[in-house]
Amino acid sequence: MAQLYSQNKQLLYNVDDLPQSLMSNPGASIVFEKHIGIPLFSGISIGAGSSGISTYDIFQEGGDINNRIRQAIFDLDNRDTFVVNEQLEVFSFGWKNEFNKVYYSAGMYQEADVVVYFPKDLAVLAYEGNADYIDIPFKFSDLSVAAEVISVYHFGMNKAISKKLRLGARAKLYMSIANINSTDNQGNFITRTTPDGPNFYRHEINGADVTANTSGLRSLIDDDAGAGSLLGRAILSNNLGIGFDIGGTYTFNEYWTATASLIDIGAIFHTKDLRNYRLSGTHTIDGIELEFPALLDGGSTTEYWEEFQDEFEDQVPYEDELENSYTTWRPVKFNASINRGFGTNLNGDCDCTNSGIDRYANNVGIQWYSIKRPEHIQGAVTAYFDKSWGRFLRTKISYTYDTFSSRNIGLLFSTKINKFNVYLATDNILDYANLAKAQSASVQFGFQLVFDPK
Amino acid sequence: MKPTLRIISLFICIILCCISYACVDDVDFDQADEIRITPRVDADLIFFTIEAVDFVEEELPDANFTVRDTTRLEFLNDEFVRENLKEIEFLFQIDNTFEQSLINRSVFLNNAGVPQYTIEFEVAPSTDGTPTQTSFTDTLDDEELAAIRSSIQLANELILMSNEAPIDGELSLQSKAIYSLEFGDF
Repeated sequence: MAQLYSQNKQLLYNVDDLPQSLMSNPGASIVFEKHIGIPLFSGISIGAGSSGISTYDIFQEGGDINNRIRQAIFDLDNRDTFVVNEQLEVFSFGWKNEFNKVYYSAGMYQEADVVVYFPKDLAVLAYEGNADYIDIPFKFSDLSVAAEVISVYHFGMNKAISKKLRLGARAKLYMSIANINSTDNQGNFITRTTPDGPNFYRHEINGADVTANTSGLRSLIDDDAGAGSLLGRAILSNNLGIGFDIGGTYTFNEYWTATASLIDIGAIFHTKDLRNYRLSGTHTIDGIELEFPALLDGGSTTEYWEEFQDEFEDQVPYEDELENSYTTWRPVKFNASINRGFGTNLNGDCDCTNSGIDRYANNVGIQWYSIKRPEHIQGAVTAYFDKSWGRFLRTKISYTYDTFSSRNIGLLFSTKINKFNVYLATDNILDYANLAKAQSASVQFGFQLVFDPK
Repeated sequence: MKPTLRIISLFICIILCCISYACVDDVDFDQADEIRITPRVDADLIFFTIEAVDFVEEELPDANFTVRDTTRLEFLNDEFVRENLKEIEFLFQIDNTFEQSLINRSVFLNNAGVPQYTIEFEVAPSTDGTPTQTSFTDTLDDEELAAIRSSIQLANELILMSNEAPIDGELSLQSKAIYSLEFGDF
């Protein structure tokens, strides 16, 4: 689960003076009343990770690299993933309406997200062959890849419903720039021993249904569409989607608060610039049966091979000219936290700016994050200590635990002079000494204007 | 310096510190040249069952009987296989109820029908009409592999060595090959 950090922005979550906290919880308890992002620089997020393996595991100096690759193939399983995620806020802004006390926020960001599951069975088949795996099926379902480049227009609202409850929601319009999706594949290949059969083995392809859907790529490949086309799609794409975020913050008492949010509940409908590839069917092969026709004309051959090929293509057709529409669901994320504030109350004895909520200089808490990936849900838990050093500087240190890393320490620095805010968050800092050994790393930073209440 | 510029300068310093602190050590990416993928593919080849009526009498002095058939095996001539094939092990298994011994001859031919490589072995006769099993394995070395790489057809011939016993029975042949491949130079 180390790969989660590429989307898990645990350091920005619950940081109530950063507008980015609204992107992971539209119902976040925020303390500013207006924000304007510096276009293209207000929110930059880059992360990559692989579960179960690091660059060092393969390319370490000394020894035999082939032994290490073989070991890695057997150590990884079909739930291990390789993930790359990048987000760039193109523009963002928000303001508080003094009449209805609703904080409105809007903007546009571009996102690239790639998740590739380790295709265990197919990797073993390619690396080892089938000779040592007789009677063991190789599952096509291990092939699972989802990659997309999108841009997102969004508009959100955030309001304190009562002194205890603040709710928020955000509507999203997705523009798909390019998409590759090959999930939900089915079937298997197996070589069976057949003691009562006509030959040593029976090679079976059972219930194969392997599909790769693409949108936005055909025109790039066939029509040689250029960067202008991509930019056009980022602004207005033919492949549209809709979605929404919801979230809230509940205040139990002057010290304790809890939050929860669901992000990216939505789908993208791919209807244009499509190309699908599909291999499907069931077939068994015992080898080529010779029939010894009574009369053979000199050196001519019986057309066994041609029949063998034709039968295979009939039974397991490969189609590469399909243009079927398809739908991809956005990876839904769930965030939750419980927080305890202590120390100096930044709002003073009389809180007149934030619905009467106490706001402390020090906060400790636990956060939960999970994301719905194509094959399963992944999760991570984070403990943090968040401290405001006056109005000038805010820091947050986090420890995130997952199956593959028990030493993920993250740091956030956020500072503001006058209205100008800069933040920098990065995790896995202990692995910075040698990134080759890191299984994941992510960084988020940005520049923006944030206006405090007068 | 304005405070805003001061903040930006501070953060640029932090980022530069992170970048200078972050490094990639103890790895050698040149090892990518040493990566070899070496799958072993175990696959059926040909099979058949023949009876006495399938044999054709040859016009030979010793009155042997033969059956012969040929198939194309185009994957042998495939560029992918030719470039990466490192070893082949053929395995034949024959169950024979004929009371005559036989010769099985598998001849790999090029596209012009010229023999490139021959596997030949004797099939044991049955003594009492019950199946006698004969197995034969042939592992090809580098020189022999060159012959296989230029082949695209397989002719299989069975020669029945006649004797006093009546020609009656059944013979089943099973065959497979284990192809050892090696890929590199990624």
